[in-house]
Amino acid sequence: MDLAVVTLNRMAFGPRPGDIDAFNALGADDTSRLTQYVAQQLAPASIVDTECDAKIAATGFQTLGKTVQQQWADHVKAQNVDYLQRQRPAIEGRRLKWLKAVYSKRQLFEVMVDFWQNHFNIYPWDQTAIFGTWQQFDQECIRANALGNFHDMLVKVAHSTAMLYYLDNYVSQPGNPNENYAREMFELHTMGAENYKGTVRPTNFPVLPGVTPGFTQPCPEGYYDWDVFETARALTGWRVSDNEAPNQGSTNDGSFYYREGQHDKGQKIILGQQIYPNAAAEDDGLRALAWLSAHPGTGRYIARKLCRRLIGDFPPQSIIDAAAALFTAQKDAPDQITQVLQLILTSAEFKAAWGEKFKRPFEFAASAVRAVSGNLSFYGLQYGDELSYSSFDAMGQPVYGRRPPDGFPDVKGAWTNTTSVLMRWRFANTLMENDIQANLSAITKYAGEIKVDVVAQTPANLTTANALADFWINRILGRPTAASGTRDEMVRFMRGTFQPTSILPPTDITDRLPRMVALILMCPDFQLK
Amino acid sequence: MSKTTTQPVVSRRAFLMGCSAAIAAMAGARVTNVAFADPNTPDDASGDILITVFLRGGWDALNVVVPVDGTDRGNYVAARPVIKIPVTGQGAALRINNNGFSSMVELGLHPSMAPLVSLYQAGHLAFVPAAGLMSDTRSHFDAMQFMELGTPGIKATANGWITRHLASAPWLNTPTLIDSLASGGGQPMSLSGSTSTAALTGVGGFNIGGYWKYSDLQQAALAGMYSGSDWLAQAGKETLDTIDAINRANPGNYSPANRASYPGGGFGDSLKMIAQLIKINVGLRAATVDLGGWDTHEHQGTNGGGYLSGQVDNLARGLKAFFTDLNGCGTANFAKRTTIVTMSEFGRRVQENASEGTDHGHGSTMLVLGGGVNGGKIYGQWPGLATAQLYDKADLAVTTDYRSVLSEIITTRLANPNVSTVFPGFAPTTLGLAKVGAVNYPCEAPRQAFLPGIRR
Repeated sequence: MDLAVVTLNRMAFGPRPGDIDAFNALGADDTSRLTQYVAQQLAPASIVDTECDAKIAATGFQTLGKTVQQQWADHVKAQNVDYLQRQRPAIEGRRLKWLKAVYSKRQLFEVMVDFWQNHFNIYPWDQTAIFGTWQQFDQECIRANALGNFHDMLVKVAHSTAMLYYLDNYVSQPGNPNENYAREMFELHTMGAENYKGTVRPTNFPVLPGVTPGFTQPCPEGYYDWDVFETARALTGWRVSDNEAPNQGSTNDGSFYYREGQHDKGQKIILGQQIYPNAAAEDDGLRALAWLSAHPGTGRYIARKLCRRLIGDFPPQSIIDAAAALFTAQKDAPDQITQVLQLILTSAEFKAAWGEKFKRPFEFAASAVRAVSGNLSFYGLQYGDELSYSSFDAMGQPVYGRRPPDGFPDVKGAWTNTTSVLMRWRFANTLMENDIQANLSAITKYAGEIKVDVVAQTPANLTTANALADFWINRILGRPTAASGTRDEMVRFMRGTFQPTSILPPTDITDRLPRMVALILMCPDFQLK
Repeated sequence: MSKTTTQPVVSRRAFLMGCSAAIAAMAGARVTNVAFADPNTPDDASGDILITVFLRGGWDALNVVVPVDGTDRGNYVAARPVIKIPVTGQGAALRINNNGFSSMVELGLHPSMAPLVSLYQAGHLAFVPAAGLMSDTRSHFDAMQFMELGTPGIKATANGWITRHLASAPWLNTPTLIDSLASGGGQPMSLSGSTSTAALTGVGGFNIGGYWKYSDLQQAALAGMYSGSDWLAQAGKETLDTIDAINRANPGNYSPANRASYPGGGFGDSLKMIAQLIKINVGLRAATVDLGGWDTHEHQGTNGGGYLSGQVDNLARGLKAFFTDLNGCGTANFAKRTTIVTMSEFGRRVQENASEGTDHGHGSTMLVLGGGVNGGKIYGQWPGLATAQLYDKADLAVTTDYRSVLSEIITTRLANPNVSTVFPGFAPTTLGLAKVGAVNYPCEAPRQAFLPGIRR
């Protein structure tokens, strides 16, 4: 497959018109183009993003720059506030995600934001403390560290109001601590289930050979439930300054709050490392996070996940091993993630892979809107949840809609079931019928919509079924040819009772062209990345 | 090459349809898979229809099927001073006939299990406490995967146990099946949080949408584009087949029989949709339903009330309505050939935590419901709640491998002797909870209400 197509589908949410040519103009051969593209994308601050900035300015966001204290005051604690206004930080996060996926030129950055949001998945919609402070999670934890250092991100997440609430740590107490966050931190955020060795730690647990950087005592190969229990103890007292215990130092401002009286100060052993009793505030929890970030198992787990996202469902072990080694070796580098991405994205494995990675619903929808130059707009908040309740959510991947902490799966088997495929086709039709809009009230303006006019985008001299099919296949797939069945079907659909080379009446073009474009969005080639 | 077919022909092979995304709006419950055989197979030809309900999140079985007497009542109360189900007063446990199940304990039911008591008494419902996965894990995701694959400890298994059952049942003769369970994590599955009340649109609206004038042409084009043999073409073909099968059945509006009253929300809607698919005779052979929200780490409720009570109520009323709806008279008795089994990835810690909740544990309880069940009994062995009797000194032990329960259902009710294909390397223990052979019991459906004034 053309490297431009591979790159723009896996490092971006699909090509927009002009993107393929721009990629090909970056150098004389594939290697230099790819190197150049990756270098640009890994320096997002240097990319001018005028169109996206204008879209964001026009949307009138109110919460993007708010501190957690401001969000808490305005959206959680405030009295007499409309429920939509309470949800505003999360709703704006969702809108921002859509706009950036469709319009931002910093596409790789947005792909990585999507990756880390999913990695540290939080379902915001159940608790005011979560959706009301969402911008802290989104901006300060994820966006601020998406290309930076993993340990920094993990520490930020562990101090975020959203995560402390979502996985119950904010109420965890000594004695019988709540293990929810500690367990998912091991299993989902750092070492992964692949390094889970079972419930009981044997006396002679297997350890890694030699000295493991970041560890003073021998480092165990994997983790046991006892590590989870001890880490849960280490994290007791990591709370939110909410309305509990006002005379214990909680100021009810929504920020992180270390409550010493609720911290288990006893000695602990985590990943074979001893923690002495009566450590300084947060110290034993922070040690656990540092060990977890440094453990080579975490490097392997994160590297595998990155390669699964960026290369294929079952990426070659060679690239996983190389990325894992770099991840662990650069654990203290401020640009650790950038370095790992640079390695993965310029690898031979990246270039070679095509045909096995199925776009997930969000990737499918964003790439469809980009391919047809859809105009996505959001207006004032309305009940009706802008793009939800449309055929988008029915595909099974609502934005911020995954309840369990594991995030949406990233393998094709999860998304090729009948209903998800059907709803994907249906989304293409709904988009091309200009029916992507949500707000159940016909009286007020829609809260969000996508408008598409493919006839206006078609050169006037293209008037035959053959010419129209070829133009739009090239435009949407980023390459002139599709699987043979696809072109035959497009021409057949477009020509109606005419010949493939006949000049079609303008009314036929107006009527059939949007529905043919919908079919191209439904074709097998467009589902791959 | 001409393409005049606007309606793809239903394939004669069986297929599985992932229904989940259609009801993705409901966070708490969903139909995850539906498996059909050739629609021309007579529905009463052979084995039962199998419905599995997976209680996602690890349900607190000890507070659902509760120690109410015996030495273990004391152990239970000591471990759960705040969240215990009382035996007297408000929220008291319901007593059921244990038929001498254990000398250590007498078991009762959470008060919200009330709708199921009559089914237990009528002999349609059985409990298997201390059942579950023998593997050494307290991870949701590992445990669910092991259970669904049916190969505890091995994640590399290519397909799930239901898929292997459907493929190996001699009377089903199914050359191709979509893997139902490798894709099991695909859509929103809830471990925590409330059950959504979002409505199920049902099996109507299962079409590609768009402009009606071009629907047939588009569908024909899709059939042309998805005609190869690779995984993507298969997914497209199965989707087109499903559109055809559902629309051919044209189920329209559905009203449950026998005054069955499904609870509002996703779980009731899911079961209602399955009942509908059973009754329209399109060859349904198996369906899987998720009911989430059982990961009760905090504030699960006291005195038989609160959050867990709502969860149990939804489950109990849903199962009751489903059975009642199917349990008509004569040819309308679909309950005689439907077996429903519930499972969860694990039970929860015996000791409550300081947030009035419970953390991940081990042994769970399975429910088996159906006309072909030797119900009104508790099966298996009670391992005890004294510390030394617990798994890892913390959790209810597992004395019945969940595969034993399923194996008996598969061989006895689903007419599939190839249980060693379904659960490779496993030697099941027979509990005797499934009836052997055809089921016969008197009609239990309520009499039709007398409608005055209707004359012909």
